Amino acid sequence: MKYDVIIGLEVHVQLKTKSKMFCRCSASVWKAQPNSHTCPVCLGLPGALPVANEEAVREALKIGLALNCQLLNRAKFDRKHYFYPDLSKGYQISQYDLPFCVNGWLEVDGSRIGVTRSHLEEDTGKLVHDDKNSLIDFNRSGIPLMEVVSEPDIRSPQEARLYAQKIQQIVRYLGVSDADMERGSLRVDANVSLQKPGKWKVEDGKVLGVVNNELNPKVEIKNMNSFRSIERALTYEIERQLQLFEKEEKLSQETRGWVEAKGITVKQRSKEFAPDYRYFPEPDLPPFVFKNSYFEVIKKEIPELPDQKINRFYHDYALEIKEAEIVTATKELADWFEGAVKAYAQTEKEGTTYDHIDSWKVKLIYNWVSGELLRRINELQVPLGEVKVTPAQLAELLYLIDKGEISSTIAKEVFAEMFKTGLDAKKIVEEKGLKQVSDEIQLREAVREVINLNPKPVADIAVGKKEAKGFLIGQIMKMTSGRANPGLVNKILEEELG
Amino acid sequence: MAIQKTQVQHVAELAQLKLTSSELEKYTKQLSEIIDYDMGLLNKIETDGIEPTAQVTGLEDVTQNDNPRPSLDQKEALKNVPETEEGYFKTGVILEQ
Ligand SMILES: [Zn+2]
Repeated sequence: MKYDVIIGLEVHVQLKTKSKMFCRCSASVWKAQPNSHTCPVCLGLPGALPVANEEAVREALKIGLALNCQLLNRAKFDRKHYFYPDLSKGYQISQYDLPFCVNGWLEVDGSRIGVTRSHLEEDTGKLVHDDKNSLIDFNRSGIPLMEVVSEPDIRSPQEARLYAQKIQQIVRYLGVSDADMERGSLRVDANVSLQKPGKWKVEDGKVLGVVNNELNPKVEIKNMNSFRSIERALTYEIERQLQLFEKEEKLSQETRGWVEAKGITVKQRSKEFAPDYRYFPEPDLPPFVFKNSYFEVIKKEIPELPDQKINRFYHDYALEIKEAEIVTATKELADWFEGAVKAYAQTEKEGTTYDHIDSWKVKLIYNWVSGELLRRINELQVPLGEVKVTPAQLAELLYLIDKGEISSTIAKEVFAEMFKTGLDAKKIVEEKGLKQVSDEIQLREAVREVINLNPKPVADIAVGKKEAKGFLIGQIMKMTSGRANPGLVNKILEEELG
Repeated sequence: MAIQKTQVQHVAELAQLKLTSSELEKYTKQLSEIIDYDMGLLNKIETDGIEPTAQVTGLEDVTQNDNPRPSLDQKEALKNVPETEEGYFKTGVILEQ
C-alpha cells in the first residue's frame, strides 16, 4: 500500500526586541542568572497589567508580509489557558481568532507551502528537571514569540527541513530574530500522518477524510533541536507508522518526543488534564485597528528578501540559480558578494561608478567567495562580520591578477594572508616579493637550469611524451616560488626545447 | 436541556473533580436550569446592530516603546516563594511532557 505523507509544521520564532512582549523587562536573558529579568507582569502577580510592545507588533507584521500573508486590520490578543508551572499566570497571552497575519505562503524548492496563520504570543518560563524537583526560571517568560503555522502541505521530511530553514533565513534577513535552534530562539514542532491517496482533502488548514471522514491518526513530534533532527525525526516517524500499518496494528493519535541520541521518537506522557484552552479575548489589552497606510509603512521597511535577491542575481549577474542561492544564504554574505562585484567593476574603469560588469568577472568573484572565502569561514568558524578582508580588497586582488602582476596561484596565497591580517593585496605582494616574474632573461635562466637538471623528462618529450612537459613547467614554477609568468614560461620552454 | 452530560463531565475533568453518575445527573440538570434562566434573561436584550466586544474602555492600539526598564532583582523576585533553590522557583517533580 502506498500512502501520501502529510506534514504540517509549527515554527516558533523568538523576536529580538530589547524588552519583553507585555512588560519592559530586558529580553536579553541568554546566560543570565535565573529569575534576574522579571517583574510583576511576567511573574503573573495579581493586579499587574500588560502593555504590548510596539516594536514586537511591528516585527510580527513584517514577518507576516515576508511570508506573503494577509494582514488583518482588526486584530487582538486572547488568553489561552492551561496549567503548567512554566506559565506564571495560568494562561498564555496569544492570538486566537484575529491574529495579525493569515493566509500566506512560502516557496520551498519549487513547491508552494501554505502558511495558515502567524500570530504573536508570549514565551513561557523555563523548567529544569531533576529526580525530586522541578526548578523554574521566569527570565524567558514574556519574551515575544511569533508562531508560524503551516498548512499540511509538506510532503517529505526533506521539504520540512527546507521549509524551516527558509523561515530562519527570512527572519534573519528581516533582522527580527536570531532564529538559532540550538539556543531555542527557533523551535519547530511537526504533525505527520500517512493517508491513502484520494481519501483525504485539506479544508481551512485541516486534513479531512473524503469518505465518512475516516483518516489515519496524526502524530505530533516535539523536541527536535536541529534542522537535521527535523528530517531524521520525520523520516523515523513515517517509517514507524508504515510498519504499524503493515502489521495491521493500531496507530494512536499522540504526541511523541524525538530522542536525538537514540534516533527514535517516544510517546510523551500526556498533560494531566483534559485539553481545553478556553480562549477568550484578553480584557487587559485593547484591540488593534490598523490602517492600510500603516501596513504600507511597514512594507517599505522590508529589505530585499532571499527569493528576490536570487532572482536579481540570476538576471543582473547571470549567476546560476544554485550559485545565487549560495551567495544569498545570508543577507551579510549577499551584501559582501555584491560589494565585491561593484568594487571590481570600478577597478576596471578606475574612478567611475558602477554600472555594468562582465559576467565572467562576476563568476570569478563568485568562485572566490564560494571557494576561498567561505572555505576559510567554515574552517575557522568565524562569522562574516569578523572577517578582516573587505569586498573592495578582494576586488583589488583580482585586479592585480588582471594586470599580470601576480598569478592566480600566488593570489590564493595572498588572499590567505589578507584573511589573516586584513592588509591590502598590493602591500602583501610588495612585502613578500610575490610579484610575478615576467623578466624574460631571468626566466630563460631558470628554464635552462631545469632542462639541465632533468635529462630524462627532456628525452621523453623528444620522443613525443607530452605529459613530461607539465613536469618541467612544475619544476620551473617551483624554482621561482610560483611567481613565474606561466604564459612566458611555456613560450621560453618551447623555444629552448627547440 | 441546554447542557449535555458530556459537557459537565468535561468541565469536571478540567477542575480535577471526580463525579459519581448520580452527581453527574444532578449537576447536568442544575446547570441546565441556571443556563436556561440566564440565557433567557440575556436573550430579552436587544442586541441587533451591536458589535461584539470584550472591551469596555473603547481604547485601541495601546502600546509602549521597546525601551527596557529595570527588573526586580533575583532576591526580590523570589521573596514570597515558599521554596527556592539556587535562584530558581522550586516545585514538586513535574513529568516531562
Ligand atoms: Zn517583566
